[in-house]
Amino acid sequence: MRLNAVEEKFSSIPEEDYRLFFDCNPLPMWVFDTVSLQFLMVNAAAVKLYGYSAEEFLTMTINDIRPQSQRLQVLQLVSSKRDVLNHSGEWVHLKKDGTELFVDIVSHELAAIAGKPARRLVVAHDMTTRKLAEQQLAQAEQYARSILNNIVEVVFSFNDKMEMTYISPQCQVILGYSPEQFYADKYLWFNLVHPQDRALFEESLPKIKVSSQQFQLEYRIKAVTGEEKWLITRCTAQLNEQGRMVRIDGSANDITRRKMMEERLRFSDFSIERASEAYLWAREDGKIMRVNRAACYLLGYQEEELLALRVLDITPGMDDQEWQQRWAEFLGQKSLNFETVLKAKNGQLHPVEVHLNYFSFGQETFCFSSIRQIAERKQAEAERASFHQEIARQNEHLRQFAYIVSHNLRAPVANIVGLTKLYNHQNLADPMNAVLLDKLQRTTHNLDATIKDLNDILTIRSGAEKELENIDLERVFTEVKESLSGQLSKYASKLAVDFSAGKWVLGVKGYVHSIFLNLITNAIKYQSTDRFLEIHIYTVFSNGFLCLQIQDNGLGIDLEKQGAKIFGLYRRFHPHIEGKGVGLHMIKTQVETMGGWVEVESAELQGSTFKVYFQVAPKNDEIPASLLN
Amino acid sequence: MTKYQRVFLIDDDEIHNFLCESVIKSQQFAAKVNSFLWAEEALDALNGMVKDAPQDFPEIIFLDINMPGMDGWEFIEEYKKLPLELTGKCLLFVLSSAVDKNDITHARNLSEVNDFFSKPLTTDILQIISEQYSEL
Repeated sequence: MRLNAVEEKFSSIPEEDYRLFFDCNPLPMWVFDTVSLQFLMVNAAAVKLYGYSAEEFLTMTINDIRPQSQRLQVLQLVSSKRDVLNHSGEWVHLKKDGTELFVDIVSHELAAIAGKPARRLVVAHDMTTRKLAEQQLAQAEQYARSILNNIVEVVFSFNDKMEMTYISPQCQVILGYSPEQFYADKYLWFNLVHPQDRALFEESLPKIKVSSQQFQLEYRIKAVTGEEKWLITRCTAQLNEQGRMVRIDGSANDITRRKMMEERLRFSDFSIERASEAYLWAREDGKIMRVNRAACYLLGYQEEELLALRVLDITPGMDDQEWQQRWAEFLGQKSLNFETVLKAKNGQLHPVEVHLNYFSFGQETFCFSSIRQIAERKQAEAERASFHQEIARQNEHLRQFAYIVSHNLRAPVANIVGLTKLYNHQNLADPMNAVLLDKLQRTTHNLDATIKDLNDILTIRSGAEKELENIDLERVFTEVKESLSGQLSKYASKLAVDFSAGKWVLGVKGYVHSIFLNLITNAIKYQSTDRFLEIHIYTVFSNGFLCLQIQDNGLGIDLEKQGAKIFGLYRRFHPHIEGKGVGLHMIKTQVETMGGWVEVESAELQGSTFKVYFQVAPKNDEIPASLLN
Repeated sequence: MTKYQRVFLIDDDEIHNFLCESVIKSQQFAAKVNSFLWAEEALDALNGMVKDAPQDFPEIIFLDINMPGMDGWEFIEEYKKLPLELTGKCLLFVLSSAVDKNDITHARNLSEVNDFFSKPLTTDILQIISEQYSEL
């Protein structure tokens, strides 16, 4: 009906104008015989699109412009009952040169004219460009999907309500949940985040939502197995023109392994930094490449300062040549232990034990050294050595004491035994008995004296801890001189005394008195009969000790023969002269107790010089001001 | 008991020398006893005899070890240097108060020392000597 009305409306248009509508129509058009399928008419647009001339078209059927695969379909369509106006849809056509065209076909039946075959007018809309674009889009989409499916990251999108709208299938691999599970429970993702890390999201989300920058979050999440995983998420909000967030796209990557490695590294670093041993890494050229805190502390440098130095700078006496030599030795041995000295920033030297290890890391070779301070060990060793010395000294004393007991105590006892055996018990009036009694008396007296001497010596030795005080040598000497005034005035023709070099020493007054007394008495006792006795007493400073020298011109001692035992107990050197051989041993013991020592110089028949070394108290004005501060 | 012509006592202990002389005399062990407080003096006397009166060389020497000046060991070193025809006929005994094991061992190891006795000298010791060394 309506169609008829249109026809009526256009019936007034002249015939040739209709012809123009067809020929000049910008859409490709043709008319074909619905029985023979022959082209009956084609317009210019069709000629242009398909590449055939109008004459060529008129020799062809509509199947000739179709690929073989569609020809059967065309035949079915044409033989089917169609509407007058039929939209047959999209088809593939071929140009003359064989390229494919994607066309949307609409046809309209032409009014039947008697004696003429049934015809249809066809309009082809060229869709090729759009179709190709669609195809490319589909391809791109497939490509993107393939990437999403194959990359290790999970890719996701959240909408403006923070509901998950897309998640790539990789989520199954990482978390064990399928995309469908995430779509069903829009907040599942957030609920899987470790409770302690949710704050991170709560803090970051407001910032993410208003920015188009990329954000990065590292957090823990619970997989379906209950296993905790570390993820890193990078995401960016998509903002609309008003700056409102419409979507958040992002990715999440499993960094559990990296986190574990980081944790292990952090743990190693932590241990290295907090170790009490100093660690130092150096390159082949001797440059220090890393140090730990203990190394900085030991050497008194800041870390940056040390990293600007070479091993040579902290090892006194090492030059380039020695370093290279060491390195070569090092390469051969892989690891090396030695003791050396390192110089701190303030110049202080630290004795250390170094354990070197050699490594190749990448292209570089370097050495790792663990450095242990051995100052304390050295001190302990020194203490042990001095302890040993002390024990050896005590042992020597004990040995000597045993010897004295054996000889000097047993001798009078043996005499007593012998004398009592000779005593005539039968005849008490035997004149021999009186002699024996006299000898017995003398022997017991000797025994008593010996025991007293031993007691004195033991008392001095056990008084090793006696406190030392400042003693005026001159004053003690004056006292001794007074007590010996009788003998001195009788024998000593000359007594020269000079304390100008120093007279204050650290000592025990009783010992100093005894030393003066013994040495002066000895000088008198062992004077030469050939000349008058001369005694010189003076002091000299020697290496921080004050040396008291008492020189005489007496008999002297043959040091070559007697030197080794001159200070031994119960040693006597001169026949015919009364003496027990206790004095010199006593002096030695007393001097050593006061932290000094005694020496003797002597030539037989010429005289002796006894040198007694005393400790001296440090004087305040001799101490450098820097130390007093 | 065998009578010896001459015995030397070398000991810085005067009382012990007196003791020895008394015991020796009471046992009629020797005709003559010479006591020396210093080993140096005894050595001088021996040297004098070597030179002037070898027939007076003692047959027995009692020697103390621990003495001032020259001690017993040093005396033995010097004694070795004397002519063997004289020292070979002389018996040298160390007579010491020592109960020190090292001293005793050392004395017994010296070929010049015939035996080591602990002080005091008693009749028993003289008995042992005259029995064990009677062939001389």
